[in-house]
Amino acid sequence: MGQCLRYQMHWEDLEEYQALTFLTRNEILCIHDTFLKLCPPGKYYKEATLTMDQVSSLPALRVNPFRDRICRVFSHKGVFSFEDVLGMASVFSEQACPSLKIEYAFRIYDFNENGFIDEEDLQRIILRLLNSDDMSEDLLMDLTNHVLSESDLDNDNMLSFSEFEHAMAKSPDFMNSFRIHFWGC
Amino acid sequence: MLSDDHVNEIIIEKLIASLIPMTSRDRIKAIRNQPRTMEEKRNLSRGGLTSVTENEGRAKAHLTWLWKIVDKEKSKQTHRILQLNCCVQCLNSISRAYRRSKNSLSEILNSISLWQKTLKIIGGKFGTSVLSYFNFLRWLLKFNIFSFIVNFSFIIIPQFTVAEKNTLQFTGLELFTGVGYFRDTVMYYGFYTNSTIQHGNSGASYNMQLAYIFTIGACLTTCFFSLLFSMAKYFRDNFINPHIYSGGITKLIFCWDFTVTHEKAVKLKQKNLSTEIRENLSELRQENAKLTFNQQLTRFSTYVMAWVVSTGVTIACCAAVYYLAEYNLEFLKTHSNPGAVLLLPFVVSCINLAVPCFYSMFRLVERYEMPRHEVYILLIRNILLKISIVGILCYYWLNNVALSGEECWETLIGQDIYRLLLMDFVFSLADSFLGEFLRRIIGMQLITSLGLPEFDIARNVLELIYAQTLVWIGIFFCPLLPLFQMIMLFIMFYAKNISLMMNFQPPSKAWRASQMMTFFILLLFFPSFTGVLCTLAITIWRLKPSADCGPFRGLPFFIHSIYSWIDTLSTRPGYLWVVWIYRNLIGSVPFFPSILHVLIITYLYWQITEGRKIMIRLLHEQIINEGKDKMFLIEKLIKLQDMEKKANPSSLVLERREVEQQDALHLGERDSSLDLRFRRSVQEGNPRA
Repeated sequence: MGQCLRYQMHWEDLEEYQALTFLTRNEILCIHDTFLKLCPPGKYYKEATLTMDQVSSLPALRVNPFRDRICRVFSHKGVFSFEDVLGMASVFSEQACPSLKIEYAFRIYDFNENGFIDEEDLQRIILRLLNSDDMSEDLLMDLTNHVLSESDLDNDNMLSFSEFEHAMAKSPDFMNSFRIHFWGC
Repeated sequence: MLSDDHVNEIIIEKLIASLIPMTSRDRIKAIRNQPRTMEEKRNLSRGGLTSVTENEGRAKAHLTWLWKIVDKEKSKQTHRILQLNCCVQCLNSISRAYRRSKNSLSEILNSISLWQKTLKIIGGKFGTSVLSYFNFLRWLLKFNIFSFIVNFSFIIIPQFTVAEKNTLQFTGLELFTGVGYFRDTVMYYGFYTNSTIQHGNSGASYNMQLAYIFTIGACLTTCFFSLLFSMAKYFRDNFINPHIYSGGITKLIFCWDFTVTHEKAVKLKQKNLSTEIRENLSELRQENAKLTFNQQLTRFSTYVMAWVVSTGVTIACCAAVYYLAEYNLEFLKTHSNPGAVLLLPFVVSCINLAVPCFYSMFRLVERYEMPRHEVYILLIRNILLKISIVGILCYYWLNNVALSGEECWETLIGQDIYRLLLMDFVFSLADSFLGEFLRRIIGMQLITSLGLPEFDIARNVLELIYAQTLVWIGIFFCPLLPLFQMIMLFIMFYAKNISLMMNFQPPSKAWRASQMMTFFILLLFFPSFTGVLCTLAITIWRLKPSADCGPFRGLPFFIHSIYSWIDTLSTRPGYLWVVWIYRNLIGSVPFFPSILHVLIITYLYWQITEGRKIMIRLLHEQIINEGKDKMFLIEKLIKLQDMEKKANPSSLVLERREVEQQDALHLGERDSSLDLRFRRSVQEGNPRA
């Protein structure tokens, strides 16, 4: 854990981040501080990167069952730049628009990254959610079939983005649950 | 075949084309809503290079444009038109200034927002459902702060300037009973003067009568509109069409609560989710099980019996409260025991505590198909109980106390409400500290199968609504009541927080927080606030103020203060417009226009939700049609493949063709997903206002 060179963020950069993300000024500065504490010493914050393990071990993500998927979706080429972290915090903030949240939720839940949430993805989601070893095969298949029968509207045994969007638009609790506070302050 | 990059470029070009006609503010908003990396968003907003295709070695600069040039061109074209309307420019600058001030105000409000950190911790440990109770408490606190500030500035401070000396004794008991020393303070209606306060020869006069009625009216009107808008907002955001789609299990799977950050809480949540999913699955399996006629009959008769018993208990409690109150009044006329006034509030609070527990025992007898129905029925019964108690008390106050010929009946009502509120608060505190603590001891040490209790959100929110109803009724008779409620809510927050951390575990069932909050706010508006308005309306229009005390002494009705004011205004030429508004718009039946407006607004919002229902149905059909199209195309492709196989018997060519067509199929599928996103991004590129 080293200290990056303590560069103050330029005012123009702060303004631009505020315009392009859903975060407030305080939140951006808090994330900047957290980022500086974690990145390797001697590097400018705009060029420094964090590994996926470092981001996974942030207190906000440490116990999340989907932390590896979150890190996969928001990182580029396996590492997080400062702007990637900001983008992640922006999507998970309270003020983010629903379409953005639904889009990223779809990408997170698509484990095999084929553009659809198919049965394999659903089974992996369920296993992550329940985290128990006493899940029988029949129960898993039953559950998967029920989810597909409820949400799969064109009967191709997988959820496309539109079907997922439709299902999530029906549950307002989704917007309230798909939130993470990244800043410690 | 279109490559991924090529499709991406087409999407970006379409997006840019849709961004050009927008204003710069809408442009930034549209760019912010895009699911892209920061660098792409920055490029879009600055208007630089769009994409660099890396695998070609040389940068392909697409559409280098600058938003400044675009805006300049636009403004040149519209400049001539704008030269004619300079007021459009004025409006623009005004709206820009307004927006900027709104943004900075919301930032300031966020930074001084109360209890931000504590709420985050509660949300992290217990989830969004328990958090909704504390948010509701904070929201009610804002009402009370506002009411107190308004009351303090407009009626309490002027009254202080002409306050008479208080000659009564102060003993400690008065803090609980509100009588004695406090009777001659600004706390109660009876202390306020009915005169026009005038200091020196400055000429500025302050009519206390009008100030009193207008201040209370302003408080309640602001609360009314605030409630109405909150309710409409919750309706709009959370209204679901329940009878077409069930969506139960899908929601459980995809709506994992990401805000929970404690390890133990996450493990517990996973265990509870597992139980709930299994319960849901068994519910779905049992839906098809039909009961025999006998079983249905028994079930129906138990429901009827349970409802008869619960309604009977409610009516019995109301009757008991009424007769006790009457007897108390008589008793106090003959004896002068200062503590005796506490009997009625004590009994009411005991009823509020004991009868809901009794109701929750009904579930041992009643069997419901879905445990959700059980929760709703219990909630309805509790609501009916509380409404009946408040209703019977209002009836008693307006019918018996006001017409009893007592010297200062408004002060008496104010004192009653103060005592009720205080006793309710004491009981809640005792429940938090002692009751829940005992329940935890029982659950952990004695009967370990029960475990830690769960925070009963419904019961606690109903308590808050009940207390707030009392405050709203009492604000006319005891203007300092919002201050007390503020202090009580403040203390209650910390008490509940401490008790929550010590004694409770996170809830096991998914609570549908947003639906329930919509329901609770509706409850706060509909029986609670409108009941308060009716009570106050009856007071102001029908009751005779007491002759010796208060700002309205001597008038035949409270409303005559407004009538006489209108009469004096109609003699002054400068204020005739006020008289006109009063006579023509408010009219002789003052309630009618406001109720009409409420109906209109409700109808408008209902239309919005209906429109969205239609939208959902159309999108559903569209998805089904797309699926059918896909199947049709795939079948056609397979047929073509077969025809080509028969036409060219050479196997090598066949293999290559098959491989090509399989690739085409795969790319076709990927294309369909990209096409969907392409279509969606085009739709989003022209954002709906």
